[in-house]
Formats: sequence, structure tokens, C-alpha cells
Amino acid sequence: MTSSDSRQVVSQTDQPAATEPLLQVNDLRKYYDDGDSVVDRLLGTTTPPVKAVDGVSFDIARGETLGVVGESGCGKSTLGRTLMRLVEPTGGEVLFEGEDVLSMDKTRLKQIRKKTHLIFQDPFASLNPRLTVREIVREPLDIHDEGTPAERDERVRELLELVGLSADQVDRYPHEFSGGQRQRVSIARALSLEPELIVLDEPVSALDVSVQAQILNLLSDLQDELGLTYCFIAHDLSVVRFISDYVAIMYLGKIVEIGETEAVYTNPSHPYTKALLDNIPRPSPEEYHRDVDPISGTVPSPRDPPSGCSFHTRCPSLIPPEEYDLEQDEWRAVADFRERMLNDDARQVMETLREETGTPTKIDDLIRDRWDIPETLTDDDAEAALSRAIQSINVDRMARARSTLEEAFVSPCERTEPELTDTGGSESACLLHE
Amino acid sequence: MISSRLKQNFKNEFARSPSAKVGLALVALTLAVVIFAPVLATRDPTGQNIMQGQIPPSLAHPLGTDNLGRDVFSRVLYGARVSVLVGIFAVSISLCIGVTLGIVSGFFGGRVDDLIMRATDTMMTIPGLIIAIAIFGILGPQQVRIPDPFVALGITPEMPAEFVLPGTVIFALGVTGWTRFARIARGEALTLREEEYVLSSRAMGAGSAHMMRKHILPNSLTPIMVLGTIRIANAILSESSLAFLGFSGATISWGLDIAFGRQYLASAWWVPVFPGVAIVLTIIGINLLGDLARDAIDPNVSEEDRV
Amino acid sequence: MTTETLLEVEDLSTSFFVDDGTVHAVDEVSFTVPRGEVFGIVGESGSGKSATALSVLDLIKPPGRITDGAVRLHSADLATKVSNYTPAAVDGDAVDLRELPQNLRDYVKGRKISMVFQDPERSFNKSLTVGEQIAEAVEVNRRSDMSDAIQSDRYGFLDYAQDLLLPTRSYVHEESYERAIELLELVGISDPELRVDEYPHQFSGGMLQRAMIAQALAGDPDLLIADEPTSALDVTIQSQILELLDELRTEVDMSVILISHNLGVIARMCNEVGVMYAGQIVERGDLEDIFHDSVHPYTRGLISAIPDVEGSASRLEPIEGQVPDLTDLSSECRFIDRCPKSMDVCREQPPELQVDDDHSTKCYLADHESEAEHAEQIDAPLGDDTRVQTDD
Repeated sequence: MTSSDSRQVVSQTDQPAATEPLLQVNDLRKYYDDGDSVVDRLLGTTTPPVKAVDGVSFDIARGETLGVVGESGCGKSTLGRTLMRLVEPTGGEVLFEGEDVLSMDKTRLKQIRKKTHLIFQDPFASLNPRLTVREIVREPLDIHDEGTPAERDERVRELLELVGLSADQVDRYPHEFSGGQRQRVSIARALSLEPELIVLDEPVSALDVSVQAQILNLLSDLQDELGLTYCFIAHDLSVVRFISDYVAIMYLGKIVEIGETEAVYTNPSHPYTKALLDNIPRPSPEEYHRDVDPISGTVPSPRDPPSGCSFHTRCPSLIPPEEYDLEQDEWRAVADFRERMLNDDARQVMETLREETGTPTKIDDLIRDRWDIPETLTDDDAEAALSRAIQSINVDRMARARSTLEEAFVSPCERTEPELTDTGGSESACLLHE
Repeated sequence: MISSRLKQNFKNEFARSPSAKVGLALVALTLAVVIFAPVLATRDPTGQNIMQGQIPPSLAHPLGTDNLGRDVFSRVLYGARVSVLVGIFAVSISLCIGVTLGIVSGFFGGRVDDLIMRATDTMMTIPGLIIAIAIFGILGPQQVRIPDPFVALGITPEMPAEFVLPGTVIFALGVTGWTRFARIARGEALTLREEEYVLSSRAMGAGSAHMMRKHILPNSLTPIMVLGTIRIANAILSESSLAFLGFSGATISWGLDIAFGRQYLASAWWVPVFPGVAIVLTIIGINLLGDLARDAIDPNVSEEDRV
Repeated sequence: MTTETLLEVEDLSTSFFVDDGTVHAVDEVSFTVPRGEVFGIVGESGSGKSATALSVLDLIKPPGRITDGAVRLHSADLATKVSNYTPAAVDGDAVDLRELPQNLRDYVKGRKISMVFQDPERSFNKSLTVGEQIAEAVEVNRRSDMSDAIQSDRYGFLDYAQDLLLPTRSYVHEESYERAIELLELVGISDPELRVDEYPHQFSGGMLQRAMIAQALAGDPDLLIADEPTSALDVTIQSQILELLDELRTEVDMSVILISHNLGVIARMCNEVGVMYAGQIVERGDLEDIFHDSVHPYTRGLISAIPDVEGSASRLEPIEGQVPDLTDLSSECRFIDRCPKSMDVCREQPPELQVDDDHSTKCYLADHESEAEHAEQIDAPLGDDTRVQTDD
């Protein structure tokens, strides 16, 4: 299970190697347009689309679990829905058992829908409150006209037992069940047509810890018993570690690292993965006041992703320009300042900065203080360039300051978009590895 | 399909509210009158007797007689049938048209939605009354004659064998009153189609018809039902107004009686007043019940506090 | 223990009286919060943790009611103010908040004790700028302090008319606005002068949470209760917010009660923890006690049910069963149906038993545990001595 470059299927099961993976995703893209009108297009005032999923590729072999992890806004939920073609993608292909799901006609798609299913996060919202459990679990069978009604009812009872519920509860309504039980009903429904692939979108996030454990165990057992393949989407890294064979880390619509779970967790390559893992609070006494390096800033808008590597605006390992020899900390500080200055409201920021202090403190000190930049940079050329920029600000030549900063401190990370590269244990999209 | 929680809410609200009890009493009374009119009436409502004309309320004629000697009390009772049944049938027609259009519109969105909503908007700008009158111009006052079961069974042989419903009025009210239902149904469909269980359904391979029928429609019924109750009251008022203006087709109707009796307001006030009172009481009753329904369904009534 | 106590909660009980019965949401909950420290309350949904927080801050509304217990805040200036009105509530510098009349209890809210909630988006009015809302909090706290001086500046009819015609005029004093900017800076929001005029939707989740904390600090509280402050946030932002809370703790000398279902978050921030289940604190102690020496099977169960980000378990150990119905409680231990170690004696609700210094639990296993612990420590056990050492 790897990315698009090397199509080797690494299978964990002892089956004679399946010739192709169950699911192959190639350069999947989903962009959301804001519905610009004709006038907007004429005037050129169209808003840039939101690139929710921006070129994602991976394979999942039969019987395995791929975990897809990321924070909010990374596009993982959209990925799940686009895979299942519940949302029409903008580009790419999704091959299920070799056939492209995205270009199928409706009839074939309906048949394929028997083999795939999607389980959602919210156990309260994924079941129609007006239907009994029987009707809910039966629905897939009804839609595809499988067997006689009597046979379908029998199957419903079987399924409920399979997920750990009592078959006597068939005629109850969802509101009579707890969150965990509702999720079991959801799972029973997903299994009714004997699917091969199940995409799970945050299936346990809304559940309490003790119930979460029950459901995770159930999912794991079912996978073994029925030979299911999972695409498990979640934001909780601990949960994903437990259930996944392979894991893909997403950021702003792209996969930044992908590989075997063990490898990624014990030896993460991408700076974002490292930061994520570091930030997770561990339930143990050693965690008390543990020094965590929080990543600065917030996730940029998917409408306007940063150039080059989308993580470069926050990356603690940002590559400094070749010509300078700077400490990583001071470089990151200068980069943050530069980032801020290249935004639209730079002038306003500077104004308020000046207004702040009553005494005529030098702008230089104010800036260095605000962005944690040392009094003098360790590299003389860098210091010269920075001073020039600050000087321009001092005399209110904003445009010049900006262009100085822009030209003098270009990181390769903002110029080039990294490709997924093999780092030994996993694949990581970072220039540090190329 | 009504959840037990809803039933419980109904019971609670009912117990708690005196106006709900009044509403129920009035509506129950009206329905009783509608069904049992032949039995409750003292005289044949169409029976004319000029000699007995314009008698004030008395023992023999509890609500007096009109200028043609017809018993007002019996006419009021029979009039209930026309008003209520017109209300129910007209609203049923509106509901069917409106809900279908609304759900399709909300569910599909895009062009379909635009088209249907334009039609709805257009419909709403034209006063219903004008359209109703236009329909009358085309169809004329068509009558729907329904044999009276009590007479047919021989229980009350002296009463009229048939009662007459104003067919054109029902039709006119039905095809002009659907817009509100469409709006509400569309709103519900817009919200509901984003629900995860609908998405789940689609993931299973369900077609649009299945999703609308099985998931959208049942879950949108509650506000539609509440609207329906209120619209019946409206329809009753509309029927009375149309009858008053001369657009009817029925032989007995509260509106008709008010129209005919208007001129006698000074001399025989009981002729127009009692049908008017009947209308008011019925409308109030329906509205109070509508309030009960709304309070019971109101999501602001929180169930338990999460602790 | 040399640190002072800021808050003492003793046998606090809150119930909700609904049609289905009486929900005993908080049942004889006791804990103490030292000055300048963070106390953690861990629990799943239905444990009563939020209800406890609301009870401490007197935010319980009908059909709920605090039925028993004392909430003692140690504050010298509050004690002085209160002793002029209700001397009975004062004991040295400790004020029993439950004994106070309504207006004094309202005085405490926001000024001595403040609260921050889970979802910042719901706590802000979308139609007002963030600055206005924080300034409002500042203003409210200022006004009742300077009741006489403000008289002349009271909002009058002319002001109202002016606002109708020129609705952009802010209704708070300039000073409060300035303070709002200071507070935004305090919570780490960059360019606060610009941010103060922005609307909530222009803030990201993490920033909005910071703004909510700023608002909570407007009255300079001694205690901040944070109810799941980071549950709606991403892990990286969560770290930022937790770091902020810790900084504030030292900078402003404020204590924090941190409520969370996430044991990791609790571990990072708190050295003293109370574990809640079905309305009770079933175990209380420091991190070592809770993670390594826990006695109550629920605590143990909770810990084994968490997937470990650093290990690869093949199976998790869930706690079987479900939380009991809080309206239908018997006199048994509330965990009895789900407990793998239940004994006959558990049919009677266990009292709070000491396991060790500052480590207590409502579980009869405490007796066995403390005996076993002490037995291990002693090299040459003499039967009687062992007995003597284990005093509860």
C-alpha cells in the first residue's frame, strides 16, 4: 500500500498476493466553486475555489485498514465522500477492483454501491428518527431488492446479533438507544449487503471513551471475521494507530506523509506529523507540564493555500535561504515577520505598533520584540537585509520594505511543491527529504 | 409515525393549557355537528314557510327563522358541513400539490428549484380571490351532491336526502392555496437532504424517489400538519367570503346565509349573526388546537438538561 | 501542604426535578482547589462534571436546584464586603457562597469566579464585534463597583435616541474598550487593536476561544472554571490554549478548575484530579495516584479503554455496560453493575475512604489496597504494627 509512484502492493495477509489492490485512488481532486456568476467571470472578480482535496493518491489492499488523519479543514471528510462519489469530484480517478468509480454510469454505480458503504460520525444524525431499527438496517436490502421480505427480516436479526445488539430490539426507534448502540445499528446496516470496503468518517469521535473502546473492538473483530477493508478517517491519532495498518496524514487537501502505521508513529518524517504527534497529550503522570512546541499560527484558508509546500507558513523546520547561515529559531521568527508583512494590512499593523508605545521607542526594537527576533541575527548578510527592511518601515516606505523582505528571505519551501518521497520507513512530502 | 415523545408533549401541553381544552371542545363540537347535523337539527333547513318568516329566537326555533321561514338553527348546523368539509377537501388538495412541489424543489435544488419557486412566487403575488373568481367564470358553480347517510338509512327521513358541496369552491381553494405548503415543504427538504441518514441512503444506492419518500417526507410532516390545521381555518373563512360574494354553488352555507341575511341586520339580526358566530367559534377552535400542536412540537421545550 | 486553599467544595449536591423523576446529577461532591493551581475533573458524559461546574458558579436554573453542600471561597476582600450584609456566611476569610443572598451571589459571578465553555462560537453574539462583547463584560464589572460615581453617566433616554439614529455608537465607555484591547493582548491575540473591531466569524476557533478567556478575565477572577475548553479544537491549537491557561495561572495568580473527558489534557495541566462517575467523585488524588495507583475500578477501566498513541495494543479493554439511570438510583454503589470487582458489601454505597495522603476514593477496595500497599513497604512485618500503620 503506497502512493502513486511505486504501485507495489504490500499485503499483510497471508493470501497469495492479490493482483491488484481493492481500492486505488489516483490524483483525486475536489474543488468547491463559489458559484460565480457570469458577470463575475467577465469582470475577473471570481473568488478562487476551495481546494478541499488537492491531488490525493493511495491504494488499499484487501483486508487492510488505511487511516486518514488530519485536523479540521484538511479535507479528510470531503475525501471520504468523494471516494464514495457522494460528491462529484473535480478530477482524478478512484478504481474499485480495477473499475473507475468516477466514470461509471448510474446503473453500474448502483451495483458497486452494494460493495461499499460509509459509516458516519454522528450516531444521532445518521439514523432516520422516524424509522424503526428494522427498517433502518433493512434499507440497503430493500433498495437493491435482495431476497424476500421474510429473508430480509431474518438477515436483520442476524446482523443485529453480529454487532452485539439483541434481535428483540428490531422494532425500537433510534432515540431509545444510546450513542454507542446507535453506532452499532449503523454498522449493522453497513454490513447488510456484505460489502467489501467500508469508509468510516469519524465513527467514534462522538462517543465516550469506554464506549469508543467497545466499538473499536467490534470494528476490529468484524474486520477479521468478514475480511473487510477499511478506510478509517479520524482526527484522533491514538484511535487511528490502534486500528490502522497504514496511515496517511493530510494537510490542506494533500497527503504529507503516508506509510505503515508503526513506521509513521515511531519514526515520523514530515515536520507536520512530528508536530502532531508531539502535541498529543499523553494520559500519564510524565505529561505534567511537558514542554510541547506548539506550532505557530493557524491553518491557512483552503481558499488561498500557501505557495509551494502548503505547510511552509507554520513549519518549525522551514528551510532557510541557501545564502544565509541562520539558527532555526531565529529564521522561523524572521519568516513569521515576513509572512505578516507580505499580507495586506502590513501598514496598519505597523501603525498600531507605533501607536502602542508612548515613548518614541525604535521601530526596530518593537518589531524584534513582537516577533521574537534577536537583536542581531547570527548571519551578517541576513541581518543587513533585515535592517534595510526595518529601516524602510521606519521611514514609511512600506512597499520597499515588503519587496526587500520578499526577495531577501525566500525559502525553497515556498517555491517548490514537494512530492511524496520515500524516506525509508514512509513517504513524506517535504523538501528536506528530496 | 408520531414518536412517543411527541405524544407525551401533546399530553403535557394539553394538561397545562386551558385554551387548548377550549380549542378541543370547540373543534369536537364542530365535528360532532358536521357528522350528526341531520340528527341534531330540529327542522329541515331547506324547508320554507313564508308564514313563519323572521321569527325571533324562540323555543320552537332556537335561533329564529330567516325571511323565507327557514329554521336558522338547522341551517347553522348544516352549514357546518359545508364549511368544514370544504376546508378539509380544499386543504387536502393544496397539501398534495404543495408538498410534492416543495419537496421536489428543495431536494433537487438548482434549476428545478428555481423553476418551481418562480411559479410559487408568481402564484403568491396574485390574490387568491381573483383567481378563484376567474375559475368561477370558467367553471361556473359546480355542485357536488353527496347522499346523506342518515336519510339513506332511514334515521331522519324528513331531512334533505342530499347535501350539496360547492365543488368549484373546493377546486379553486385547492389550486390557489398550495403555495404555503410548497414553501414549508421546500424548507424542510433543504434541511433534511443534508442529514446524514439521507447521505447514507444515497451511499447505499438509493434513488431520489426512494430518498424523498422514505426519508424526507415523513420527517417533514410535523410542520406541514400544523400548517394544514391553520389552513383549514383559512379555507373556511375563504369559503364564507366567496359565498358571501355570491360565488358558491352550495344551497346552505354560513357565508351564503350571512349574505342573504345582511339586509335584515336591523330587523332580524339573528339571521346573519348566528352563522357569523358559528364561523368565529370554529376558527377560534381550530386556531387554539393549532397553538397546542405548535407548542407540543416546539423544539424550545428542552427534554432533559445534559449534565 | 503549604499552599493556601482558594476554594473548598463540601458535599455539594444538585438535583434536577423533571417529569420522569429526580435526576441526582451531583451527589455529595467534595474537593479543594489550592490558590494558583489547576484542579482537574475527569468524566464522561453523564458524569455530572458540567453540572458541578455550574453549581459552583450558581448557574443552576429550575428545574434544577442545589440541594445540599457548601462552596467556600477564600477571599479577604469578599469576606469584608459580605460581613457587612450576611456575617453568618463568613468564617475568617472564607465565604460560603451558598449562604449569600441573591445579589451578592451575582456579584461573585465574573468577579471572583468565572467560566469558559466548550464551544466558543455559541458564546458570542454574531452581530456584535468581539471587542464590544468583551468591553461589555468589563463594563458590567466596573459599574457595580463604582455605583455612585457612575450615576451621572447612566444610560439615559437621550443616549437611547442617539443610538436609534446612529446605531454605530458604542454603548460602552472608552475605558472599558481599552481594557478589552489589553485583555485580548493578555490572551495572546496578535494585533489586538485591529481584532477588537472584528466579528466572531472572522476569528478562527482557537482565537475565539482565547477571546472567550479574555472575556472571562474581565472581572479579574480568582478562579476560572474551564469546561472542556479545548474539545472543539484541533490538537495543535489545543496545546496553545492549554499553554495560555497555564501562563495566565502564574501571571494573574488565578486558580483553574479544568474539566475534560480527555485524560491526556488533564495530565498535562493538573496535578490534582477528581474522577467523576454518575454524579460522584469516585477517586481523587494526584497524577501518580490516578494513573499508577488507582483503586476504583472505574478509574482503572477508563485508563485501559484509551488507545495509546505510543503503543500498539491489539485490543482495548472497554468498560462493559452503560451509565446507570440517574433517576433510578438505589443505595448501592453506582458502579456495581459494571464493576469487575464488586463485592457483597458494595450493595451499600461506599463512603469516601482514604487510600493515602491526598488520595481518596469511594470504593471499599481502598481498605484492601491501603493494607496491601503498606504491607509491601514494611520489611519486617509485625502483625500489630501493620495494623497501626493503616489508619484511615
